[in-house]
Amino acid sequence: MRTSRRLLILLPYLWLGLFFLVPFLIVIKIALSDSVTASPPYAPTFSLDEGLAGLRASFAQFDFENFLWLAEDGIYLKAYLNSVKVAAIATLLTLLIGYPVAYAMAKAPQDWRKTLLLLVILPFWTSFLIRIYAWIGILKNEGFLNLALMKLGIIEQPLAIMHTEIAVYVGIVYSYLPFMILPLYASLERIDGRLLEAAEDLGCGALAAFRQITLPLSLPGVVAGCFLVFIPAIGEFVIPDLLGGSGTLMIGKTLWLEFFSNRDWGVAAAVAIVLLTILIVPIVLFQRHQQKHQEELG
Amino acid sequence: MNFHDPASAAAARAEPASPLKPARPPLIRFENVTKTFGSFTAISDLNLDIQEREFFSLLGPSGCGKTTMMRLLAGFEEVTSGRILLDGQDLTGIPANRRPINMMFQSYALFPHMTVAKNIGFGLKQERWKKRDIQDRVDEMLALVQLEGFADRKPHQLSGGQMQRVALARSLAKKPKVLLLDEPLGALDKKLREETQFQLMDVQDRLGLTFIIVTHDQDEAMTVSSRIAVMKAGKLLQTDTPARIYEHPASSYVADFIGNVNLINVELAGMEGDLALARWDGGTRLAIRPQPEDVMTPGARKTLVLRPEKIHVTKDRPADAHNVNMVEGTVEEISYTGSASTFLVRLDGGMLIRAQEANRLLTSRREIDWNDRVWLSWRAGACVLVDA
Repeated sequence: MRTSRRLLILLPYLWLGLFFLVPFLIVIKIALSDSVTASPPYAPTFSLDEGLAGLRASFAQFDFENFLWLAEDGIYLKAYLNSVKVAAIATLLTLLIGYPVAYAMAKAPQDWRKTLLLLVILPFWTSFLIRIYAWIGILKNEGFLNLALMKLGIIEQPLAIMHTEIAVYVGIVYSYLPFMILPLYASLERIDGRLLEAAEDLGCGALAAFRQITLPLSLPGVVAGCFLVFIPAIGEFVIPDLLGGSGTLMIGKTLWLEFFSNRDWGVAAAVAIVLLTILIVPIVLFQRHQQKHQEELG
Repeated sequence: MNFHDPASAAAARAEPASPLKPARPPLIRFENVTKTFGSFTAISDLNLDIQEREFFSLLGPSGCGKTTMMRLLAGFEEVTSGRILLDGQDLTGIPANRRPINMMFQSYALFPHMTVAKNIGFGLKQERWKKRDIQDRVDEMLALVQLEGFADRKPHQLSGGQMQRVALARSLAKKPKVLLLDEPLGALDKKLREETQFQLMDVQDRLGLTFIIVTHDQDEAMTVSSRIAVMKAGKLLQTDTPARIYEHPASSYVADFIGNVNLINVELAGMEGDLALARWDGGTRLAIRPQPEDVMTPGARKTLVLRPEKIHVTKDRPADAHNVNMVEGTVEEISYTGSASTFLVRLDGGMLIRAQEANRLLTSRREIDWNDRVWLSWRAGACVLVDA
């Protein structure tokens, strides 16, 4: 019994070790290496030809040059900060749109809720990439949005939305809205309706009851939703690449450029590691919050 | 805890001889109240007066409309027709948050994200009380329910009994004119429930408030109430003191709903002195002491309400007396419940009668056993007649 249980626990660890830890160690190794014009484009490479002494010589070549480079060139810091800014604003927008939607869903008649929930996750049935391309069709100068607005006589010149940060926000908010709505809905739907009746009974108006009961009780959902949007939005690459312009500086895009355009794997790996370290902070915060919430429930 | 002596408190409440002066205007008046949900009629043309300082129970099976009556009073539902008066004032159109009526919810509905103190002070905060005053009242309430020292706990850190007391304190903090209690003790285990019943009575007595309790637990209603209203299908069947409800039920439904009972169909034969004579199907002659309000028409069919504990079970034939009824039968089943034993006795005519004897002796000394021939006897004044 105990050995079989241990085996069962071993499986996910094996999986994580094989597909996360080992690749990550490789990335660290590349980040500490120098960039060279060769294949693979970094040095040193490990080889066992020269035995243990050769390996030691390889290790001696490792340095933090790539990381220092990130600090020296201001563009990386700017890209990081801009990513955080874009992710934060997009998260806030998602929250502002998602909360009323989730609230309406939670207040909808019982037999409607499942259908509404299905509608929220329905977009996932289409590839993410295709949906972003569809937004190009909507937002571009001669796209559906501009055509419709001009037909209606609201504008005369097409709005330049494509290739601006606005388009990036539209893309992120659209793509990540379900990740905001689902945890919000879960926490709102769980609120016992009698709590609101009790508040009303004790002299509370509807707005005051929302502020004092519903809002604080949905806070776990708000926090979960915000993290679920914020964390992936920081490293987002496809949306800024397809919808954003050359002015949209985001770290995911910078990473891609370093890797594929500059073929500087060392710097790209360093960018990836720094990005991960930045993300670890909110992830740890998120997990601590979830744990605390679980304890309070139990 | 500072409870009343249970026995005397229960006796004081059960005493019918404390009449509620009819001259005083009622605190609450239901006037021809009807409430429908779609095609379902929850309350149908109901009239009811509740006096100040009463401990009033609404008792009935689920779906009888008792919870709807409470929600109408609290303001969570509006009457379809008729009106409800509080202190002579029409409550129609006054929202729940403006009524001087508070409610203790079933399973308490404590705010899980607030401390005990915040929960209790919630209603006062809505009225924009000063922080100091809220603090003082919260302390007073905590003392009332004996939860001093629990002010900073969260509800999930409390036991069921403690949560119940916080809920009580919260609903009393605003000193409402009326406190509604929706199945207040349903979630507690039996022992704690009995203890809490007396605490509720003590609090009601000390604060001089009017309590209205909704329950499906007849023992609870009997213990705590000054009056009980038995409901069925949106109507009041009988509104009376617990003792009257138990011993003088208005109908066989009420008799059957409250406690155990033998319901025997009889035919009135006539009067003999101050006793009524009746025959039941087997021809057995019964003497019954009629109530002043009973109309005794010979030949009328009535139902005899006979409580099991009023019947005496003996092996020997009791001495004949004009005011004692007796029948013979065979013990079919004995159920032992600790303080008492219930005998199911099959009469020779085929009818099954339930009789209960207090276990004055140890069970090992009990004289009566399964399949024994026994005599059941009861006095003419120990049973009542209701319309068949």
